[in-house]
Amino acid sequence: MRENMNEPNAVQVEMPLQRPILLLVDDDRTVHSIAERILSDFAGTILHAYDGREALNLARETHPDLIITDALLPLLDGRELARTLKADADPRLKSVVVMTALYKGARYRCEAFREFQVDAYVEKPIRPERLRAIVETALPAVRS
Amino acid sequence: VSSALDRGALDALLEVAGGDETFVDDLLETYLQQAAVLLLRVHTAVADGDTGALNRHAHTLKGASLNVGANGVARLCRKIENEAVCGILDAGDVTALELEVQKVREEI
Repeated sequence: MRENMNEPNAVQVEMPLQRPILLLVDDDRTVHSIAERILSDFAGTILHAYDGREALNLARETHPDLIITDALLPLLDGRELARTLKADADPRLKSVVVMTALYKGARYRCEAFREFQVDAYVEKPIRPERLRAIVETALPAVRS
Repeated sequence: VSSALDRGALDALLEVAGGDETFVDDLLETYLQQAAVLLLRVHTAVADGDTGALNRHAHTLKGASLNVGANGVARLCRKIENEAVCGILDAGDVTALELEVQKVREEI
């Protein structure tokens, strides 16, 4: 499912999307397919974006509860996306999780947490149990 | 004969899909389409001498390859990625990458 609502002049209305909203961001389409399958019983709405700019627009329009984003993205880096959205301070956004094969050492994890304000970090390729745990931790009221 | 696709990774995907083989077939088709586009971008990056773009596209193809168990493709992508960081563009690596993707395509 992809909600395409990133038109620049989109009318600012409350979108009829069932909460919680999870925004998944990755330029790799296999990640979207696998994650959606893993979270097939997610009791909310899963939105998809394929580059950082699209994700930023979609997040500001739909106010997701949780964002899971790749680190290296076209147009806007996933870590910059995290930092920008954290600066927006939207109370509906509970957690931004960065997934990547980039960070293997503690030093880089610290950079992700401190500099880019991400809430959690997960290594790729994503394991089903890890992805479910991230969602359940970020959105404890929702058991996917 | 070594396989271009890791059966263990495919079995794990099948488990995620609850035994739905159509899901895995569709995913592999998505992977091949994506790999074809990324290979074109890798070629363009080498032709342009753009190591930044080469690094990005090789990184994306590596991630997608690991997801479907195309470990040989992922290994070559990692090599290209690492070399690109050092400013190295090796057309021979790209040829090897193409051959490996072709092996995956034939195996699917």
